[in-house]
Amino acid sequence: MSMSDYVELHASSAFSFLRGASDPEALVRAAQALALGQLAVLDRDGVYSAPRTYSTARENGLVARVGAEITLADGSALPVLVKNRTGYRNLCKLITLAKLNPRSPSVRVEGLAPGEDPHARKRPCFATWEELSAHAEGLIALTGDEDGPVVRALATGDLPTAAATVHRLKTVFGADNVYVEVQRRRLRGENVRVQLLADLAAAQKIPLLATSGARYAIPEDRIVADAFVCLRHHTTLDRAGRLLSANSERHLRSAEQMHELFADRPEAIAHTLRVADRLDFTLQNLDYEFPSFPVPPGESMESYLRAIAYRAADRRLRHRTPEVNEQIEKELRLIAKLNFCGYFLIVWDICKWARESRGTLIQGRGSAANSAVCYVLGITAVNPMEHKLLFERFLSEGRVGVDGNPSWPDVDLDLPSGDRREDVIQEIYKRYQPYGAAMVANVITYRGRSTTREMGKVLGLPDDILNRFSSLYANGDFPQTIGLEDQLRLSGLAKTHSRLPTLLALSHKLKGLPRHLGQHSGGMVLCPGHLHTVVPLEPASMEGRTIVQWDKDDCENLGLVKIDFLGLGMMAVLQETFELCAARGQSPAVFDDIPHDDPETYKMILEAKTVGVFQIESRAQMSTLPRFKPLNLYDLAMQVAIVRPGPIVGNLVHPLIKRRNGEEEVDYIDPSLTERLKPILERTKGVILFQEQMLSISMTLAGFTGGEAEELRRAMGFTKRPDRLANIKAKLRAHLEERAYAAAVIDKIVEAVSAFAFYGFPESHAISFALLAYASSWLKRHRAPEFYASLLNNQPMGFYSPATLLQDARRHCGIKVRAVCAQHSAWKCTVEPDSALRIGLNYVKGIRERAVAHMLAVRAEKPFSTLNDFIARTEFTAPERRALAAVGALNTLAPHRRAALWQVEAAWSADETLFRHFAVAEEFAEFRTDDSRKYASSKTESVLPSTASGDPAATGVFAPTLPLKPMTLSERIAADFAGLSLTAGDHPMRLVRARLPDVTCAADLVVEKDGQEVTIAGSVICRQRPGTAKGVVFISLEDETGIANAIVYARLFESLRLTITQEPALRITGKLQHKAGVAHVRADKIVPLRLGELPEQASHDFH
Amino acid sequence: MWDERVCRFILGHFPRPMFAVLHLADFPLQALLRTRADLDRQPVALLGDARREAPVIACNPLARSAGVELGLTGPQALARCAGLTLCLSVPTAEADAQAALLSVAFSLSPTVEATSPGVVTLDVSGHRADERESRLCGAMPRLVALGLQATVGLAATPLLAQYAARLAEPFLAVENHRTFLAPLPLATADPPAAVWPILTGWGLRTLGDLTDLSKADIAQRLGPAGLALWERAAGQTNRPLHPVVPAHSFSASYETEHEFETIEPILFVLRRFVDRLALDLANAALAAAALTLTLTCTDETTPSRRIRLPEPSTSADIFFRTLYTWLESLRTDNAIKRLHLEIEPVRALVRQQGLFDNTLVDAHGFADTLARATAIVGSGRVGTPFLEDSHRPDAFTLAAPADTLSPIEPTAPFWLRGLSLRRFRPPLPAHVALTGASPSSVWTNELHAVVAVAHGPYRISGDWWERAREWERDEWDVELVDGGVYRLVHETPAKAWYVEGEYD
Repeated sequence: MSMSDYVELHASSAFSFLRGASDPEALVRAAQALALGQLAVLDRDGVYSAPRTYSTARENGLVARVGAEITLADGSALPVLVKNRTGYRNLCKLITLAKLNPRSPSVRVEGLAPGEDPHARKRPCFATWEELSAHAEGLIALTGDEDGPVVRALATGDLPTAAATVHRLKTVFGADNVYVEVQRRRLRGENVRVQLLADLAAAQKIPLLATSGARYAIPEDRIVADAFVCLRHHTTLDRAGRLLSANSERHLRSAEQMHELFADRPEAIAHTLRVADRLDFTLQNLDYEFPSFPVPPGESMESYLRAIAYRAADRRLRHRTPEVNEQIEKELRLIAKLNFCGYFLIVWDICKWARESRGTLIQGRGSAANSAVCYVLGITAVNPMEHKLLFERFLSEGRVGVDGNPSWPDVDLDLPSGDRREDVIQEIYKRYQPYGAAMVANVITYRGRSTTREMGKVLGLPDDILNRFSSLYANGDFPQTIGLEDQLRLSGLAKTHSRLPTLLALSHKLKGLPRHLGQHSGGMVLCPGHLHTVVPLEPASMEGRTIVQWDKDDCENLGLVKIDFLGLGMMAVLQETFELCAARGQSPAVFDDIPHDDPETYKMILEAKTVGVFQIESRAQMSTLPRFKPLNLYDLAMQVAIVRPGPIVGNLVHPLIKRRNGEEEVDYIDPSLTERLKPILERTKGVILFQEQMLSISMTLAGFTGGEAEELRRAMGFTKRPDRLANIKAKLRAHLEERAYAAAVIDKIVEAVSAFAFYGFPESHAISFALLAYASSWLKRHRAPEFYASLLNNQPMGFYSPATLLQDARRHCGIKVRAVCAQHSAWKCTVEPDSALRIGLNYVKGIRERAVAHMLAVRAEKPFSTLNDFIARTEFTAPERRALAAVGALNTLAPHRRAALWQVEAAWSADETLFRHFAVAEEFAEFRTDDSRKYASSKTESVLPSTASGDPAATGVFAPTLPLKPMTLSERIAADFAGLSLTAGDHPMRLVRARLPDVTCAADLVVEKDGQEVTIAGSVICRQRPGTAKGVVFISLEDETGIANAIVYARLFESLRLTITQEPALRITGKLQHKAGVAHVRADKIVPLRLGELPEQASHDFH
Repeated sequence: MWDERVCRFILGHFPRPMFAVLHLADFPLQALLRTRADLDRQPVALLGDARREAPVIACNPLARSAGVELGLTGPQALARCAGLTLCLSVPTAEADAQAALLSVAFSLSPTVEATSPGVVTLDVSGHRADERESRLCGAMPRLVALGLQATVGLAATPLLAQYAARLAEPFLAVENHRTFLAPLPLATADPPAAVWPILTGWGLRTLGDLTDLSKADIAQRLGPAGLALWERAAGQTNRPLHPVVPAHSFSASYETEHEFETIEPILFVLRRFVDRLALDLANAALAAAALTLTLTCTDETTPSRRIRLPEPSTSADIFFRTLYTWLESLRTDNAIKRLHLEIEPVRALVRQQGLFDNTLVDAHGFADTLARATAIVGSGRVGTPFLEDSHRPDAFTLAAPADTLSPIEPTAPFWLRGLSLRRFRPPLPAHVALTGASPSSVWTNELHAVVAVAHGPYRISGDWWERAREWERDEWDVELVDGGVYRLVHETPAKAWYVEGEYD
């Protein structure tokens, strides 16, 4: 039996969510093992798996055909195969229509559950016969399996409907394009069904076609399919009964096996070959075109780009040297040659629109930073000529992807996170609506803990065990110290439990399978007017957004150009800081106003006082800064790149630091290579730090072509396909061996590739980030109040909680922090004229922004004179007033917090104004006549004269005795943390310091001796367990003097897992480790710090 | 108008109202622990509900000494005490504990109010003042015997008695309500949830702190709920009791997610049941004529047994022995998750043998015989068979007969019908010779034949997730050279061949 005797035309992958049980790669590999020459994976209502099937098939010498199962209005699924490009376009359009368009209420929808809204976003998608008819050209229809409309009718004995359906299919698709599909899975009764279908086919004069209807690659994957059935029906394996499959036969079969199964129907097998011959489409023929840009009359896109580039260069570059002109000219020529002008113009136009119409900061990063045209157009902020960045890394003629499609670079644009970024995204949708733009999908896969939990439920394991498992291992998978079996045992599942092996097997098999489609953090694909003919679109979970059915890697592999609109919290901070500075008449107003190479800024960075700063604020970064000693932007770029999992794996941190500090001699992998590698590695002292360097080395030493280098780049970043990386590594090794390099040299270079895989940082990217790190550091150093106010206004972001940021602001920048106040605070945090930072009302929990806006409006008309005045003129509810009083926001209108709490409960209603006026007057008169009287009436507050400062006690004016005592300091701090999650006052650790005589303050660690045993204590603000740190956990404890860091080795962590992950405050004892002014405690003993005065602080855990 | 002296005389002879409260601290936990012998001497904490972030609402002293505090989440509590057992409250255990508490209360006074779970209030005005303490304290050992630790408060109003009971160790009588109330924590007066944060915000800690504030101010700020709270805090609240009537039915149930896999924990719970029910019967001056114990297994089977006592009895020991005998012979395939014991009461000495009562000379003996029979054939082998929802042919379970017949399911699609199969029961073990994968000849005790035509295999399998139940079978339809069409089955993992039947 040869591979040409049968073609598999109907299989489904796990992208037929909760139906298919194997990923596309597994299907292709199985097909190859079975010597199938062609394979069509038809997923339900989508071509989700098509790129991965195509790419793997191409690598394995198979032909991947394209098609899908289309859900019809009666809930049945009709398989269709794509014959040609028209068919593909029609299929994409049809799916897009079914997914995006609300159904008319008149359409009878049998797929919907009772009460389900046919207009709802998550409704089952379906196509009507009319839509099918309008998009039938270029498609071949099969009658389908037991989910198909024909077999469903037969199953109920309704032969006339079955015949009518086949007839209708003939009418819609044409008699030549319909096949009656037959499948056999060694089940009783199927021969009768095949006979009926054969009779039907004969009666309608259409051919029979045999398929496997495979839902999984190999029989062993049946367990996944059964588990998916349970998930789909919300039941357990024990209860699923006959919903489960009857056997394990729904797998791919070889030609020989199919011939044996259909020995009585050889024509059904033969027809698969005829159909395959008629299929003339693969994703190689996608025919995606670059977007075009409308230009003024008389201009071409090329001439227009040239004109605006030179105009912009005049503005942006102070001196346009001949070299600069030459570079711009060179780039423009290539851009035009590659027909890329439209893309540049679109990106330029978006940046211009964002900046000019919306005043939004926008900055390109990534490989676009290598382009002088991008720089002069204002797309990027880094001058590539100044930093000697090579344009060819961004765009070159020879860039061809592994799939044979052109490989185009993305432009990544950083925007302030939040509304401003959404504003830009919505503008793109608006410009290219309805089918010209969509977000790139993000395939959410089954992963460790949640998968095990879901499978535990399917297996009917007790909730308490699963809950305990989730609690114990809530913060991700740590396979380096404890395997899943042990995790389950520690969660209470006996090692001998009869279902444990099944749970382990299911968890293992599900790992990495697609679970559902999310949206990418910011990637958009543009194809003005007809993106839905390239790839189907569907609604995203966010209102007003659509996504394509492919993820970023698939889009890149197929040559689709993507623009990333990435929301960056720090961009929002910078934008707001600039605005706050402008409001106070200070510079800078934009990036370019920030002075370069400011020594004070670098001094601050060197001292690792970088809490709140972009990228270099983490514990790992701060511990490296004093050793790495960055002194300029390129140093900072190296610093940004160095503390990444890649370089840590590759053991590059220490050599680079040592070489920079003169403690180790600089070499270039091997003395024999110095001459060739020095130009590439000189700036990084012979250490391979950036992706670009890796690619250059591969070209220089291994003789990689541009295409091979591109393959290497993509393999290093393509997380889903470790086999791709293995292949290119083997190729690199072979090339190096061919050139007879020493084994040690080859090992070193190949090892570096492994280290770079998944984490490697491009140089241009690092420089863009370094620019943000420098800008934020400069602002922290020179515009600290504005910077911190903006940081607080853009939470959550970064590593530290607002409480920690405030403590840092006070400690390191000497900022005066003022408490939240109804008389002085705005909604957001602000900077007061004397440069004090005022906490905003947005930090008060439970307060509505609308009510605050109203309060601000009435306050602007006239300040509040008394507490009753405040109550009368504002719209706060009783709980809101209570919340304000509890955090001291009403202190300027009352003697103290409790006085305010007492008074706000006795608020007069609006219709009692007159009565209140007289009551107050009367009480005031009483006051004046008898000031010694203990006055505990509810009206006390109303008679207090208002003062300029708002503090009656401070004025010396008569202050009556209130029935409630003021809060103590610890009560105030507790109320602050309860109501604001931060305090403008002292750190709570100061309250308990006297009770911790044996505990060393964080600030004192630097003066203690290396190796000395110390105890540190404080609120846990960070718990980290880097995947590459062999299970080591890093804990940061904050006290009133700063942050102390502890290292916990895996063994201790496992023995105290819950104490470390659950206790809000800890006391850690261990040996002090000192290095270049950085102190860590190597934990030997960890106990909870249980003191009532310590409020629970937010911690940044395991990110 | 009565003379003042007469009035004084009458009032002097009417007893001053006096109330006692029996209080079970951490009632849900106590109720649970009295049914779980395995948790004795273990640190135990009770969670508020089944959510993962549910707080600890009660814990025993061992857990407390290990650092477990109320309000911690389960994982946080485990962080402090690694050996901690986290439990959820068991409503049936609480119902039984409450019934036990009421039983003891009715032995002290006929006027008993079930105030709240774990709290009963008794009118003890009729007790002699000098005997009250000794009588109330005398009830403590009875409660201990029922697995409960109670405290007792005595005061002139039900509310004060309740407050006293909460603080008692184990007995406290309130003499002066003002000095008694002032230092008590604010929570004693059960502030409404909406008011509680306001009071804590004001820094109030005790009832005295609250009553130091003017009643009018509180009323203005906190409304009727605040006013009622203030009055409670000041001891100004009085109310009549809402007495309950003693139980007329005598039953006890227990259901938990913690399944019973051995007999010992079942006996532990049953001992609690019979002790309490014996007390109930004694209170009502009745005796038990029969006991009915119904167990519910995890597979929803319900082995049940009604045991008629040779003569009416109120002895908890007799009840227990009777149940023990039956349970000893009982075997179930699955763990037990629910117990229900029902006692048929009779007046002890006036019962007459019924005309239609069974004629067994020795009912206990008959029950024992049945129980032994079950022990021999195995549990789960007695009952009505039901077809399982499974691809496995003939898969069935045995269960108690259904009360009503299920509606008939729609018939299978017409085209699935084939030849009728005459089943061999049991199927005939066979030896089968294969050519390739296909049967070529068959031998059984009755058949020796060469296969002329074989169709198959038809392959079905299931229960793959449970190794002990996993099954797989290949079926062949074979026509023998000597005539006849048979169904051959090859079963895995037994790796055995059978002739399952002959087609008509």
